[in-house]
Amino acid sequence: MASAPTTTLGDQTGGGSANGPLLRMEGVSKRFPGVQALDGVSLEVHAGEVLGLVGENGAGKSTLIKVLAGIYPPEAGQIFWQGRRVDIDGVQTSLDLGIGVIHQELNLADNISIAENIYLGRQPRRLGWLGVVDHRRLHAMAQEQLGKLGLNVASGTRLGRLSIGQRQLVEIAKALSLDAKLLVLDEPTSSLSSSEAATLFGVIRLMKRRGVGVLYVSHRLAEVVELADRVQILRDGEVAGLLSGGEIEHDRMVHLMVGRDINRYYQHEQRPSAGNVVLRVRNVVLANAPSKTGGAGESGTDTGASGKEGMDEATGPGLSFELRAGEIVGFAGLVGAGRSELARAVFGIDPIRSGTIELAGREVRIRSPRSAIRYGLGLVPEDRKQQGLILEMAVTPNISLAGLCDYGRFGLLDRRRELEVARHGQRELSIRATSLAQKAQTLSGGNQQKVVLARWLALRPRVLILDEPTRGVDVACKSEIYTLMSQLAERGVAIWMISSEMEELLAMSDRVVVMHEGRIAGELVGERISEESIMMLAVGGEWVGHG
Amino acid sequence: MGDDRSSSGAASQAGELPARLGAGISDVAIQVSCMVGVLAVMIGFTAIKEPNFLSLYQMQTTGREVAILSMFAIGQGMVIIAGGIDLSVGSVLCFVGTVAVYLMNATGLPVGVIMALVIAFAVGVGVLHGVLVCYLNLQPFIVTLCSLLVWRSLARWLTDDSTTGFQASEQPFFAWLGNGRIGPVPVSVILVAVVVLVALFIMRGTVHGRYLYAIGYNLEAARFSGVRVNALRIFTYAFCGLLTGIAGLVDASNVSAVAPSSAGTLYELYGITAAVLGGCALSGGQGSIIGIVVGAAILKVLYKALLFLGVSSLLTDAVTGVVLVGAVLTDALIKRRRAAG
Repeated sequence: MASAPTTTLGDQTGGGSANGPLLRMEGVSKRFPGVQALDGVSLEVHAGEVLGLVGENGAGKSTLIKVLAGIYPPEAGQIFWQGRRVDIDGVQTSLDLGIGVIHQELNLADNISIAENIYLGRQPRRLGWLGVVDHRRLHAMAQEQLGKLGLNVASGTRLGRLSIGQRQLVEIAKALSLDAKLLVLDEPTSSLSSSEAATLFGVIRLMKRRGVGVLYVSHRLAEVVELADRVQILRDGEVAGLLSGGEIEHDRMVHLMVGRDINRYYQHEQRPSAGNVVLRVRNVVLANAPSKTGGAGESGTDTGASGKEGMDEATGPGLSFELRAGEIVGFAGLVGAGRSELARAVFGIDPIRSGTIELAGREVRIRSPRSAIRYGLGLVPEDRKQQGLILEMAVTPNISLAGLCDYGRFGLLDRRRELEVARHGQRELSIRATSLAQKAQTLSGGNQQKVVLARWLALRPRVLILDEPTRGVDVACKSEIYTLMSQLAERGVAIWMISSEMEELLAMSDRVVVMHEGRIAGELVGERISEESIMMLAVGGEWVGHG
Repeated sequence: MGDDRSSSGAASQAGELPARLGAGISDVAIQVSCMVGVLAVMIGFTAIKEPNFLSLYQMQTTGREVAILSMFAIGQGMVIIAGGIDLSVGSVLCFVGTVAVYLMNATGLPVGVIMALVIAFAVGVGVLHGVLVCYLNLQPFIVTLCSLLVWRSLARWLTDDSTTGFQASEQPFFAWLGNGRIGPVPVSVILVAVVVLVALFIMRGTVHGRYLYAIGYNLEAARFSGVRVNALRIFTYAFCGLLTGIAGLVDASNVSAVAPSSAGTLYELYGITAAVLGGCALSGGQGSIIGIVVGAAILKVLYKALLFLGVSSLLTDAVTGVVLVGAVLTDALIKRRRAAG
């Protein structure tokens, strides 16, 4: 795959630094089984500039960050640091160079103080060989770092008492204390409130003035417009474009991210009007309502109002929506909006506190996945490896897993029927495996997903819940899965598709339900479905385009 | 299936065998045949040195010991396959034996009723373990460890820590259970044969067995696929309790007097040893009933062989430990080589 846009890079610089770039990547590639995650990506970050890096999920942003962090070695390409060619062959090398990566999931310990978190493993010592930690100096140093970021908390505070936003600043302080010259921020605002985000932006601007280079990775385009000096766009592992200064506009970025390729995989065709209501969810309140706390670990002691706020909203009106036979309903929302949680609850995995579920007009009580299956529901979960497959088992038992208990009488194992079902599934979905006895873990991501799909198709569900159906799936398989979804809808299956991929939502959905912080923020039909309308609702804004 | 895409040799080979469980019945078959080979070599070697080793009497006593060990080891193995662990076996076995004999002496209840009562008790303990593990999310290691402490202690307190025996003349049926024979075959061996058949049927012939493997490998994925994971896990603990109960009666009958301070001590660990020797992985998902029985046989035959070969009985556990490490090590090396190849 030749990538045309990359040629525009090279010597051309947008930030305009006389000393050459701080970081230069040239033709970096990385492949995973079934996916070319990075394909000849080149980029430059200069000291004192913010380079925005945007792209749809799966465009290769995370892989690129992990290459910089020394987690994945690149397979091809070169990396130059301050003009010198370097091999980032490990996390330590990356740190030594002065690259500070703030991952989405923070690497901090909740149960120790801020100061200890910042200087973990390199606390100042005293008393010579005894090596006793010099607490006074430790805290003085930490307090100084916190001061630089304008974070007014005592360095002795236990990290667990801080809000997510504050923790993120601690992580930045840690990177700076390591003398980071390049700060890589991966979706830093995904779990921040707007005021916390504003604080963070202030800190980023401060870093910029101090000559730190910032690589800002986000799918929140407004932030990128606000912060970035230049923006590089990734698509399917390749550089899709580079914008600087006044060129940085929302629509232009969207165009480059998805743009002309919006119909590449699948052309959304208007299906004949949907049938009767199959599933009606009314005022459902989840027993364990999703909290806003991101990936930074559980902290029941969260002092911020964020946790409470989420609860109140969730216990308020509850969640209501319906699915009709033969329609594909997309569920959009930011990560943590509660989409998967709702699906899990309806499927009987997690308990429901109140509200009702009706299937084909009849109220039902779904207490377990088994009863959900009896009512004709199916769920392809988000995490294929943890929740979808028995990786150590072969294709056949994975396909038969959910239906097996209904094949034979008295719980007898009907191996013949099992094999027939597996063969049928393999044919129907063209699962590429050397044999049905091949272990699921040795299949590619796309074929693994097909195995999970085959399991549910064998049960002929009335409602099929697909949670991120194409995550980690190569492009060819993706389009096969889309075709399959359309076929199922034509056969009258109601499809409930949770997706974080805008392209997928736009292409596949007849209707889009948008969730925000545990509530349904709105529902979009027909031409009201657009990236802008979905994003507005997803971030908690009002979509004013109502008719 | 005759697929033209067959790429790697290993994968296509596995495809030719009727492997359906991924880990492959083929793998299990190889493993078990290896263990049977080891067992045969052990028996052969000892028999050449001491022909008496193969006398009918010796075979009968060894058979009884293998039978009792296999019985609860199968129960423990099934718990392990489903991803749990049961450490309570020795204590429950002791409690069952002690209480059964105590009731026989202290009450006029018919022996059948007493046996039913204590077996029901053992099953109940298993159910309790399962409920605590599944519904209160307690660690099976801790739950069954507590059981290990509780039941032996209660048995000792109940009997004032004194050895209680029974009169074989008064309890002919109970005595027959542990010492009787049908033809040349000890009753306990026949009992364990029945247990093996039942366990084999559950694990290989029913959906539940398949689901136990699935749960052991990936509880979450099984749950998401509608497998009744809690009911099945509780079943494994209850079944383990049932087999422990039966083993406890047979053991008490066999030794004809139960010393609550020592009966069944360390049995839980011997059971786990047998299961692991037989191919069970403590991480769950792996193991076979036949494997467990062969593991139990290796353990007991090794004891006996060492005795016959004049090795101090104080060293038998050391030898067992080394054998177990050797077995696990060999398994790991084979797996690593296969993964590399």
